[in-house]
Amino acid sequence: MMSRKQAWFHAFTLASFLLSGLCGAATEMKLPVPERETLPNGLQLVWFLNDSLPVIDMALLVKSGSRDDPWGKSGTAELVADSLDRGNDGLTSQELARKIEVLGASRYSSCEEDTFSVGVHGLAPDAPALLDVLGKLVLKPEFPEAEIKREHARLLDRWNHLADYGESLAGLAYRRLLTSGTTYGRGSFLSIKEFDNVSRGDVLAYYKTHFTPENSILMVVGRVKKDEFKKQIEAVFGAWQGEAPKKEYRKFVEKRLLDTKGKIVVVGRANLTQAQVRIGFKSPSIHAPEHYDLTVGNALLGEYFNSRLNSLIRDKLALTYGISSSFSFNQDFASFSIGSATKNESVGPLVQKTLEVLKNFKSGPISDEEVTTAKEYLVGGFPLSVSTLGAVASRWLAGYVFDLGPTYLNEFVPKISAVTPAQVLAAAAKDFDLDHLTIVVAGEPKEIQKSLSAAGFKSIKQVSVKDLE
Amino acid sequence: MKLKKLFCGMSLLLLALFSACKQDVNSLGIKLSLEERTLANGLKVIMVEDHTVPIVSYQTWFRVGSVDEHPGLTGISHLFEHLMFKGTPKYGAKQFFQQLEAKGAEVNAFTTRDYTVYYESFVPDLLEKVIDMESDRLANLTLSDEVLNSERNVVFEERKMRTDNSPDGRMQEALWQLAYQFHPYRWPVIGYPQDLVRITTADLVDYFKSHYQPANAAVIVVGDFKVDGLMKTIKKYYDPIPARARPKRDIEKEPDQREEHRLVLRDDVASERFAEAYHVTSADQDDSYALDVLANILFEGTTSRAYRNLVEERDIAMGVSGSAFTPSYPGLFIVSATMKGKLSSELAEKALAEEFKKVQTTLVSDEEVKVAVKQLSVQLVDSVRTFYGLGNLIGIVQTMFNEPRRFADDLNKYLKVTPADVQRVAQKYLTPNNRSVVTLVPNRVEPTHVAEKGAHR
Repeated sequence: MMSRKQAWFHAFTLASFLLSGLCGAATEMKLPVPERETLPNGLQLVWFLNDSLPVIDMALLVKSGSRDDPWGKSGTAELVADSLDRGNDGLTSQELARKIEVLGASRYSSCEEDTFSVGVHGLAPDAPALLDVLGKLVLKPEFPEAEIKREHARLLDRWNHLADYGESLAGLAYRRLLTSGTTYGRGSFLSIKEFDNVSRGDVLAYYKTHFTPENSILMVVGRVKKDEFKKQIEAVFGAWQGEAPKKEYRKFVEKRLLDTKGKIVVVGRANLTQAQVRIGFKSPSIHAPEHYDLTVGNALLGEYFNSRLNSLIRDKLALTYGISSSFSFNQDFASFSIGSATKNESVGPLVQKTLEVLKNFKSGPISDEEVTTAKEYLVGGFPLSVSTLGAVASRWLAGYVFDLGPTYLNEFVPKISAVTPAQVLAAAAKDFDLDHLTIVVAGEPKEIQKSLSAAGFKSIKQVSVKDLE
Repeated sequence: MKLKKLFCGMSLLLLALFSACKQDVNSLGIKLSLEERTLANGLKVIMVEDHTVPIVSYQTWFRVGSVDEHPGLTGISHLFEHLMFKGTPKYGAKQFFQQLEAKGAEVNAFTTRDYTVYYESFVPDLLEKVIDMESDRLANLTLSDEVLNSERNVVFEERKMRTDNSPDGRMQEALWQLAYQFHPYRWPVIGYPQDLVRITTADLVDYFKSHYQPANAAVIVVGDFKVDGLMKTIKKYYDPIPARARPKRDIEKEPDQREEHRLVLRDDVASERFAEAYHVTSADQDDSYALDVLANILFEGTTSRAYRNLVEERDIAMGVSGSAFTPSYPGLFIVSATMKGKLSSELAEKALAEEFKKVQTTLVSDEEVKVAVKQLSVQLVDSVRTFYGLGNLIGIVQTMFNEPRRFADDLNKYLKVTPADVQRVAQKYLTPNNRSVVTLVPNRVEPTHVAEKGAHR
């Protein structure tokens, strides 16, 4: 598997970080603006240049991800990500790895549901050598049969460790339930059964279809002389050919969890003394007109220490070490989620109190003071979220993927500043779908059931790890 | 190695009521100018002015951690860190969050074995408020049974999350406890539950008086401010805090380990894991640099010796990692791995022992040392990408060595490491009798002691 180290902008989950990060532009802060151009083959180049530190990052974003897995073969994109450096341009995986590791540099490849990213990170003087390795990774993978089998087995090994951590179990079950019936329903890895069907041919087909210049963006961030380096990029990527793939998505219903609708789902994992809790619902897209109203609402509800959730559940009741809420976004799906953990015997009270907070938020009132505080938090935190070139580049790229327009970063402060308490309340009333909540708890099933029952929850469904595999 | 005594650390410019010095740091293509002052009450202030972005990182480092605790009161340092946010007569409970976080500042703290750090990152407008609040809680923290009891429950939840319900957390706690018999590094920073329940408000008041005082602290400020203006504000708020003698550390020395220690844990995990710890040296010794190079040669990247052997060639482990942890007192060289399928960790232990034997008997190449040093250089540059990261580097060396520029000398120290140094530290420290091993075994699976042929599915 490729190194995930230094992968500071491969996190194209386009999830909560977008909301917590794009907290509005401080008026006095000049954000670096990227230079953009398109090579004749359709590959877009984006430059964020700055010579303050002697480092460079190059990342290729492919606008396809695990949602593009062939039907019946979930896990294909994951296998592509893990196999991409297992034999390239006549080099073995070890030989290729050596080329980059002797530079003290690192590489990564990973896929999310909508995107795929491949990148390198190292010292600026090594930029040409890093580019050479990136070119081999992106353009010259050979996917040897033996290496595909090896990575296939490794991925299954990792999958078998799912139940080692309650957090992983809760996260997977929650996402499965929430996305069931959407084009994201399969996730990045649906089942061992489907993954067993994924062959080298599928890996090659995925790569050929989606790794094309028209479907990609190459971003260069750090210290480099642009004109000179552009020639080198053209030498490596200029001859790359391929059109953007045509995409059709199908909705997937998770039949294994069909009868859990309207119930609190408890994923059993013995011998855990602390349960992981996830609560949430589908929410409007990032393009919704009330997006900024919801952003402010989420901040006061569960983003900072004095938010409603944390003030009650942690600070007053001491039920948990942490509780927070966030919106997360995919291209065609969005959700609101609350995450927390508590000792098994406190699960009932924690869920009960959290639901009360949600109900009160939806019904109001929401005070002027709360909204003012949330807005100040979001606006004041913006400079921190873009204090490095990499952070700006990452956020710019997220905005690009969502087609938010070239100036969206600079629009954020005025839009947040303009939000009123009435707008927050209206958005909460409209979009907080508390009649269709997804609630998942992972941990010691008997203890959790007891606690939930004692708190008055009657509709509970126990599932096992097997139901998720 | 004796601590390098910088002239500025020794000068006592009492006419100005505080000592001062300015010195540039130029390393790895990074240029910094550090200003260092000491207030009359002993508080150290280290400043790096940088107007690149309108951000300030303000960090208060206290030379107190779990190493300063005693059996029966383990975890008091970390619990106390939580209580530092519970207010003073001037700024009541939650005010750090109301006054700072609610304006966009990042506000947090962490506790280690050697030190405790409180930090804020924020826009420059908040600088005076941060100084006011930090100095205020250093002088006037309010402690009560009520806040103690509530926060103790939060810490119990934190412990469940980080240790009790985490296979890695359990193993790490057990490993340190197994490796150290006398030194206070043997107990976990978060403390044992049976100790946490017995900590009283009186214990916390004593702890506060002993350790939270100007002479035991350093304030590190990096970012968008003017040094003169900042010092004026710092003096305004911190000068009234009376000076007290810096607490002396009286730490029991760990005797040489003479036999291997082993412990087996069980959990509901999919495969075996293990962690090995070898006693090594402390951060002030030059061996620590050779140990870092050794760790990188063995474990950094997929072409490192151990990774190649266990993961790539033998295909018996899902991953293997290792690093030298060299804190204020002699630390540990820690290695850990997770086995594939039903394989026994004995297989990986043997493979590791073979790799250790190789570096002990045959010199590593100059090229390997060069690569390791380059990797460490990139890590150093990466760590100063943010003001917080730079402040953190300065804070560590200031708190451990009283030398805020020392991190910039690291590269020179690494460049001096030779293959013979790497061999010497491997021979000196990576020995069976100096080793402690914790194995985590799945509850339901009997391990296989031979590697499966064709481990691929």
